[in-house]
Amino acid sequence: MGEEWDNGPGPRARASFAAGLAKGSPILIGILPFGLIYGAAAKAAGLSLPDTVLMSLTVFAGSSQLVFVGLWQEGVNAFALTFTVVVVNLRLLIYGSSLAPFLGRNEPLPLRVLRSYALTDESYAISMAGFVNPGFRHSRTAYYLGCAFPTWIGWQCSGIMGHLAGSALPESVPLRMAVPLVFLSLLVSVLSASPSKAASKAAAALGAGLSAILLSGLPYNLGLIAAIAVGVLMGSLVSMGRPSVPGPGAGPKR
Amino acid sequence: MSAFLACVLVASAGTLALRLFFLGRDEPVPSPDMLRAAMEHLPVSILSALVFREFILGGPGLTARLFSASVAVLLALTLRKDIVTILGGLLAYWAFTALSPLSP
Repeated sequence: MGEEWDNGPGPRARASFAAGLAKGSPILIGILPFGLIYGAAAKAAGLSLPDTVLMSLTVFAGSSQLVFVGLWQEGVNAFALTFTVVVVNLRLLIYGSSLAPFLGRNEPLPLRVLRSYALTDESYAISMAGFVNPGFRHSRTAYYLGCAFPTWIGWQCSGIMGHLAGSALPESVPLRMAVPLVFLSLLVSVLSASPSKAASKAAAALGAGLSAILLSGLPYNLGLIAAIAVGVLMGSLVSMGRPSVPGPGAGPKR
Repeated sequence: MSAFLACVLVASAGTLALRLFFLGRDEPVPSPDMLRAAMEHLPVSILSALVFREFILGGPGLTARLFSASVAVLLALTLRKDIVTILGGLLAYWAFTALSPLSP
């Protein structure tokens, strides 16, 4: 894959980016209200517009930015604040470990930094739903970046709009439901991608889902991480003893 | 440097470090077969944890969210179009909350 990027993106990379862009665009419905809330919260916490934009550009992780704003407003000390933000983002480590085997090798350092920066719940979920599909034939890094771009641009713009206009969305508009619905749509897609592994995937889904509810009281978003671990464990236990499953390296050719 | 700027820089550096740990490498970190097999269940576990958390623990309006989720799953299974699933789920949620006097 590296050669596709030697002199900028080649035609296949461009087409794959466009395909990712198309797949990632529906997330805008969910990102916009979330960003508006962030922008309005930042303004309410006394942050200036440049400060609000700076955080969106550098941290680029919605829930942790809202945590940051909340703690800043409460006057929590700097160490506790930054530590909490990083812990809330620990899940990105898990996403990265899962995603890395699917992305291209021998890619230039700026591209590796860019693909790292682009990692969010949304870019992971949307791109991964494509990667695990046996029929996937795009250039993976380009597709992944295409999936991530709508989230990035939507997040930056809506944060600014939220700061400028405050939370202008009426309560009756249920746009806050959009992000969960995106995740649900992707979950159905992943679950139905390979019927031969339905039992282990169902076990993983149930284990993770129920644990996410039972462990929701844990601080710093750790309940989510623990729930993911339970899901992986249950899926692995169910698939144990079955014929070996192909890893990402055995997937479709890049 | 202001305290705010310092906090943002440390938070963003920490977050970027988490992102770079696996994705910034030229070669994937070698991992045992067992771990790789376990990783296969990671996407479905992550998505399921997020979905359950958002739909079950999303505050008031549980019935409306479950109704919305049911409609969305039905649409996802039959039509397999993300945008239709999202809009259908939103419409179902809106209709349920608008028509049900018991739902907030």
